[in-house]
Amino acid sequence: MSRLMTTLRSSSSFQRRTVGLALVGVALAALAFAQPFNNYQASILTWIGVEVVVLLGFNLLFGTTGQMAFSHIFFVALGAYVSAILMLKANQPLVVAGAIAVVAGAAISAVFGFLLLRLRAFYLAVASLILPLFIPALATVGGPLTGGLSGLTGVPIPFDSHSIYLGTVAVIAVVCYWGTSNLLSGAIGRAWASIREDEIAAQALGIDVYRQKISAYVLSSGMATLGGVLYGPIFGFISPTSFGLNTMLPIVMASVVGGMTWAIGAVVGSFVLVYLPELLDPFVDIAPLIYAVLLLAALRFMPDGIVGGVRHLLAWAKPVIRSRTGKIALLQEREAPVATIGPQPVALARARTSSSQASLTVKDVDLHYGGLHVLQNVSVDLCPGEVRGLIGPNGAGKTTLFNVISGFAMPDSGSIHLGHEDLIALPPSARAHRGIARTFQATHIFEEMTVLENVLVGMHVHLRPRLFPLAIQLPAVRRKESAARTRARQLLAWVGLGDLADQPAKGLPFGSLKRLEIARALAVEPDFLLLDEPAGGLHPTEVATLEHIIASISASGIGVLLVEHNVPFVMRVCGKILVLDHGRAIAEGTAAEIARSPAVIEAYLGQAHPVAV
Amino acid sequence: MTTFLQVLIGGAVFAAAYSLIGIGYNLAYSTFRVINFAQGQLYMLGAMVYVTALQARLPVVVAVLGGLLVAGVAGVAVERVAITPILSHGFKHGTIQASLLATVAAGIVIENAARLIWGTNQRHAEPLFGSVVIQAGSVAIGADQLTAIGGALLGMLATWLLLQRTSIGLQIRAIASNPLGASLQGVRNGLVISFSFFLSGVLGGLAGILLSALGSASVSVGLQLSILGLIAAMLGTLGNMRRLIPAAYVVGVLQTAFSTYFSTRFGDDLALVVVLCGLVVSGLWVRRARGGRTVSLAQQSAV
Repeated sequence: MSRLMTTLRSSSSFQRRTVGLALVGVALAALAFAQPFNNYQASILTWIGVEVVVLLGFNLLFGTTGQMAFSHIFFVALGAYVSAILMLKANQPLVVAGAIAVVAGAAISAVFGFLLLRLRAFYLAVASLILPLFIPALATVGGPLTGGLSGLTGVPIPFDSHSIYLGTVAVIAVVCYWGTSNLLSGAIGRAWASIREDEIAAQALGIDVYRQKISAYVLSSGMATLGGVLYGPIFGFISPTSFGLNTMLPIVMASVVGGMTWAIGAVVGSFVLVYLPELLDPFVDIAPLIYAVLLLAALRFMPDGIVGGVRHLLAWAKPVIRSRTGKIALLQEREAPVATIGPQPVALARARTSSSQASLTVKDVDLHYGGLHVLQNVSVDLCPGEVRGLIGPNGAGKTTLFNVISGFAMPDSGSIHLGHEDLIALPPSARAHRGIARTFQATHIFEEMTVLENVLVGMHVHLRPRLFPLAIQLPAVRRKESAARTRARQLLAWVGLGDLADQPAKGLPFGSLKRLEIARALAVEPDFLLLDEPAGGLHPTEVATLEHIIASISASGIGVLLVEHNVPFVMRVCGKILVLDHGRAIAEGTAAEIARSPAVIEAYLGQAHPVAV
Repeated sequence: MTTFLQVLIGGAVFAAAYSLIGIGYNLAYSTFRVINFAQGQLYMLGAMVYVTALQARLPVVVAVLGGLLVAGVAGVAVERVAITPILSHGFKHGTIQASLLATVAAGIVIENAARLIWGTNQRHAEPLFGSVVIQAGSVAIGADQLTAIGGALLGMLATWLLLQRTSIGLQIRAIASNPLGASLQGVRNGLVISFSFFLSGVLGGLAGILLSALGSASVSVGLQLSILGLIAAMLGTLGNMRRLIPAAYVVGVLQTAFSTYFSTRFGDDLALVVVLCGLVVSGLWVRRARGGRTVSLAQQSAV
């Protein structure tokens, strides 16, 4: 027994989860087959299993990806209707009918996702009302096929046994739970959460936001469809009134009350969802009132739901001291203290072939915002390993030039080439894949994630996660993940954040956030790194550390473009400096040349005598 | 042709309600970046109080004032219970989604509380002007329809004057453009925000009174008005008061047209679906116009 415990403790969270869930699944199936429940009890428990599937799907879209779509209930209805019709009218078994329904649901959701997910968060919430509003009309149009507004009765239950069906649904729910947890704890879960936290940073790190949203939507809707398929046989009866906006509200409520960012929250939520009406039976008239009050109370007092609340409580009762001191002390012994940088990790730049010798060429870029000429014929040629400074008064167009190079702003004319490849038509995420990474002037950190997870999002480009292999945790996926984690820790140790790796990024001091952003951008293994005011607001000793970091980055062959107001700092770290003023390049050259240029003295320094370098 | 003109007029009556409710959405959105989805329930409160007061043989003026006051106070209650405390309490998804969820819930609370008071039956209001009908060629306009349209226009005019010509209006606009700056200049944000929700409530209540004078009121009308008013506001771009009225008119006319020409049963739903599809398409079109990808997003906040 103690050996088992030791093995369990030394195993990964994935192994623990797999063993634990396998045991739960077997136990549930065995319990169901032992038939201790009457039909009614079995139906209620089966219903909970179905809601687990439905809520897992809703949570991964709403909780994790941050996209609220009320179309979820439409796909539940779709699954229930398509499978019921195939079973009743075409005499297909549940397995065949269900498979067809789920494929149909996924296909339809791909089409709607393609349209709806172009809308921003809140417009999506309202536009996605279209689908549930269609349900009564569709049911009526369907005539005898869908049974009109009175619905379909006699949906058969497999083997004619509520107990066997309960066992089957329990196993399906456990498998869905296992797969979803694997996804959420892996690279795709991080990518989705990064979209919820900050779409701009996610794009800059190479995440194709639109495509990831669609895949979350399709998976979520597919699980809703599966839930609908499994729902039909429980009571043998479905009708349009079971799937309207009035049934969507309890789902949202259960998602929030359970804890929408955790898979376990879906389990808690589905117990609330199914048992609450049972408890409320005497007050059935005011059930919606109670749902609404619960939702309000959860939003007010437990925004992370029951699961979040329990976790806060545990964290409070068992403070960091006991669980982490040992580890932190060890780390501190081995690693450099905060604010001095550690030994250089294996390699900052990725080992590449000929293309890594290519330079980044920005040519004659022109950009207007309305009547404002922000950039006028600006050209920069950035070579590998070079540190180029970009200075100029506020409003000179420095950040806009960054946005043009990283793909966040489209110039009116001009070209951007990486080697021979034209980048102009590529979105930000594709440019990150080509090896261009950036930081932001006002930091864009994923605050709800840990420091380590922030850097891991930067590894997305290399992990290239795919849904199915990640959901079943293929050995190759796990190897890549563990290598990525090692490298992320090395990068963090190198920028001096090693001992904060497992802390939440929220609440980190400003200087640490700046270094975290650099570590995260380096995780992309870029050929070119754009740093937007990395020294802004830093303490002089931190600036010295930063100088060291930038020197090492360029020494490893990465070309750095540096926007900075701290002129002495720029003059120390940069080989050549480009000066912008009112969108025009007014001078380019070494620090000494720039300091002598009359145009620079006039425009930038605003005084008539040269500056001491 | 006559039917068509009749549809245009009927649409204007609905548009009156949607634009009054839409102003409430726009006020909440531009001052506070939130969606107050309980707007339709405030309409319902105004209507129910007004109709009940009339049935109790109270004077019309009392009934109107009572309806406006109850709806306004309910608006403040929604803000104080469902919006301010929740926004200051860190919901992961940002203010808009949090407020949408919270006010959906608040709306359900209001509706169910109202059901406990009034029951589910429809209540009929005595038309103010009896059955006076103004005949213009083949087209007939009821005097109460005209009152509804005129009353809504007056309400909007009053709101415009309040926002543009008074100190409190200036303070609301100051908060809309920069909340921190406003509070640093001595604006008491909390009070002003509550006042703007009171105003939204009064406008919603006014819509309820005007439309219930045309026929009946029941406690279950709120949700649909919430949705349609919101869609009108979104179609005109949230926060944009000028485009609200034409957008509300489009929604109103579509709704009347669908229930006139097609089945009355799904007329409302179908109209809604058409407008929503329009919304999706216009969303797509706007993005394409700005370069077909995430550029617009980035220009807003990356810089």
